[in-house]
Amino acid sequence: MHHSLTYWLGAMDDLLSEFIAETHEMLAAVQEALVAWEADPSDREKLDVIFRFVHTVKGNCGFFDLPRLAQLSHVAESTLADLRSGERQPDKALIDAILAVVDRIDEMVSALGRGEDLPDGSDADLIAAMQAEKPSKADAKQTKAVASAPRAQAPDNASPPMPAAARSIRLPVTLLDRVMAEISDAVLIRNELARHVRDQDLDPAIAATFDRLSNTINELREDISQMRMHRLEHLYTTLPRLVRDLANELGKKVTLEMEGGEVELDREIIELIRDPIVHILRNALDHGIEAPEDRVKAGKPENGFITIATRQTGNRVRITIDDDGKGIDADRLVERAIGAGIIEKSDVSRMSHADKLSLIFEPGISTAQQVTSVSGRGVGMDVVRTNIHQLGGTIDLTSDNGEGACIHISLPATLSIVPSLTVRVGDHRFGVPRSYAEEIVSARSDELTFSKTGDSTLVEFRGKRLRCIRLADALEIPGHPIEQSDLMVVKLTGGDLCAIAVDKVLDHEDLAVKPLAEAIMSSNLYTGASLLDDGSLVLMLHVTGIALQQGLISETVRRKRVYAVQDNQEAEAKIAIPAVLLGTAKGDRRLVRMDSVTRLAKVESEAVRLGGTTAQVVLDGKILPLAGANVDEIDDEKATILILGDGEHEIGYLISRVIDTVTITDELMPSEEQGEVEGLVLLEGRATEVLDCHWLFARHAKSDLTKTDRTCVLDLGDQWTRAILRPLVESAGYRVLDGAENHDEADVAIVTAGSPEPEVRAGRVIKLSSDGGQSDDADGTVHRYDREALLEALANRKQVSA
Amino acid sequence: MSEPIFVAHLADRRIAFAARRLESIVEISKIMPVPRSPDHIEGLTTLRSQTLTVINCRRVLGVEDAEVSGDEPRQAAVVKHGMHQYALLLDDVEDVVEWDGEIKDILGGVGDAWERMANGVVETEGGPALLLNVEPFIEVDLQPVQ
Repeated sequence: MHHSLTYWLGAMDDLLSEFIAETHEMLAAVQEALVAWEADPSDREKLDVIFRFVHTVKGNCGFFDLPRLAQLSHVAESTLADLRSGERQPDKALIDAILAVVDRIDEMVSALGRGEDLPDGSDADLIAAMQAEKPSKADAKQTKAVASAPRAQAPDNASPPMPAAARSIRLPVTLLDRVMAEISDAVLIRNELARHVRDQDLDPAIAATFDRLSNTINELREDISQMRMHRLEHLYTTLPRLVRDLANELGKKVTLEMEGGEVELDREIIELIRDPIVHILRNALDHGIEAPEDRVKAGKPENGFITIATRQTGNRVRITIDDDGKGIDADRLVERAIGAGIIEKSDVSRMSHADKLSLIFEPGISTAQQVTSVSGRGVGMDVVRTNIHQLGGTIDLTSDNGEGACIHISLPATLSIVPSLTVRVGDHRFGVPRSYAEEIVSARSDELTFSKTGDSTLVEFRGKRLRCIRLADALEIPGHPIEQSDLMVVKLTGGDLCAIAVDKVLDHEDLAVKPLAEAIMSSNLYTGASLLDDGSLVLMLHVTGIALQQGLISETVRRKRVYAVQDNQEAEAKIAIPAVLLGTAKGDRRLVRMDSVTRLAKVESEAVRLGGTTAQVVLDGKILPLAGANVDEIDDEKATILILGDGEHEIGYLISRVIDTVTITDELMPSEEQGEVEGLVLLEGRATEVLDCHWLFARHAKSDLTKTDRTCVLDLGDQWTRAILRPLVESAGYRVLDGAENHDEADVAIVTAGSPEPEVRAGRVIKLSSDGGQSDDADGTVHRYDREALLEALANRKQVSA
Repeated sequence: MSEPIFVAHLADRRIAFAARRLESIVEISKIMPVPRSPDHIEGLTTLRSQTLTVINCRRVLGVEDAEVSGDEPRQAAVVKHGMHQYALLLDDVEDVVEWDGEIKDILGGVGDAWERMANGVVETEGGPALLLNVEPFIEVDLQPVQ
């Protein structure tokens, strides 16, 4: 008897923790549904999700003795049932009440999850809020209620069918972590065994069995790594609610758009980036997006947009958070940085726009005019950056004043394996996370010149003077002199470059890094150690820690490490090609040389004609041939066009957005085929296609469309002319003038045979006939459907008709 | 109540550790030095794919290093402490013996360093030994590295 009671209690405990876990899981989905439903209360599907949630909570409360939760969910269920049946209409107060109910359920269930009793308190406020509307309408509805009473009993009130859940089980994360650690060990033991196997003449049968075991272990490791992966969705579903609440609090209108939630990340990383992302969103809402009236004044839609886009590339995940707010005031940042003693006035002239913007990541900088309850609580972007760096990630930002801000975060998809470089100094080998190393150069080549100022060595590199340290000095071990070293150019926290000299850079390796004893870690020189396949150990260097100790970064970050070399611009121009990194309409990343870019334009999507070779865009009354427009439609109301010029012609290139301006420092690998792409360069470790502007101009500007602003007068009162002739004339490179308006002069006029000659003084007149079907060269008459002849007539400038 | 203890030699003394505190006794042949680590840390080594931090117990005691040639395997006791495993370098190992649980006071003259490490003196068949704790070898007051 006693035994069975304990058993029963244990089962109840299991049930309760199951209930809590299930409720938490549903809460995430409900938050998203709530926001969508609020935006569109007629969205029945979202309403169903919310109803189902409350219904499930209510049902589950019955099992446990949770009267408060039961009562609250019961009233909420009834209210939602009324909404579903159309008995009541949602208004703002009611929606807020329902949101508050979901929050309270969350609070209570979280308390249960912590093993606490349900907090004391009353839900009368919420219950009243939900029923507020009822009394006034109750009378009016009395009769109706009676009439519809049988319907209320009908299955309509029951929970809509639940979508079939995927078969899954819940596991404690600690167990997962243990399994993960064990499989890592198994891999290492396998490697050790593999060495023994290699060293001995083994029976082939045993060697084959070992190979099979080895493969199985590999597969196991991959599968188990997968177990730790989590879709970003789990984080993203909670964000719309957050944005909605904040926007309400701040009196702003904001829509949050998210894509790429299906990208998977190590669950630990997801937990660790939650705060940084929330902080960035808060910032965007509070300081970025303007109040609705200010937005209207600035010529923007009242409703602000924040977009979170996620992409996985190889072993890294890139998250881009984009807002269309007022952007970041770089000059204000500079002022503050000077005020805070982070930079000096004399530094400013040497700082690029990007340098200035990156000041936002310095401690003690906040651009907010005033600290509000939403952001500016003392945690700044410096903390965000530190958190992301700790994950082996990077963060940077682009912004134009008035044009919004865009924050790019790059993260490793898994924590345990770090893509690394191995280096040698003396008898020691070390690992350096690949993400730090920008470039590797040999100091033995004559191209590098070193100089000394005070105690520090500078190396001139790509037209810049970088601080250079010997790893041997930093670690107090023997090593080669600087001139006989390999230099690793590393990008430090804050984006500054410096050079670290090692005896030799050995290899690329993926290293499984494990932390070391406190006594070693406290030196701040290492992040851990890793076993190589040959069984030897390497220490992973803590690049930031070393840079700090060597005075490359001081605590109050002074940006004096990079000295722009003014007198050596020639050298810089030789190697560095400024370029624009863009996203094409199809979403590919491509580079285009800055020299070819005239400007960037946004036009109404209607002004763009899409297509492979015939695409055009009307811009400032001119028609430009449009490349890159081989897509079906433009998603936005506005199309973004990059205007390319060769000094004589201009053509447009349809893009989705400009990602960044960059410098191509790598050699271009020419592509084998003729086409839009000139070749490939390495950019941030990724092969990126470079647009071939010569080819683009040769192809798209061939008919000399844009050199002269040729005009053609048409009778736009005529339907056929408007719908059929006009596009043809435009595609031939003419700007169309309306014959009904008075124009002094035009290059060409097209008239229908038999109608009066236009009053305009046209260079020549093309007459269209609608009968016969044959064009007649003699009198310059062209049949209206003789496309070839018509185009020829338009193209042939010399032919002058009487 | 009797308990197994592990008897070894360290800096010309007979010492003992409670056997339950030790993971294993190993011979270490390769130690990778760690630049700029605290003095008492000899380096890192691997044991069955695990990384061990090797502790030079003589230096913790402030005693001169034993004369060892580079390649000669060295005896060590493996200890798990916190998240990490450590190898305590010993001069020589004797055996695991049963101990009756009786501890005698140290009669002085062993020096402060030893007294910090020792619980007391235990009697074994081979004579008395200093019963040492492992923790003081690992939790050496760290001099902050500048």
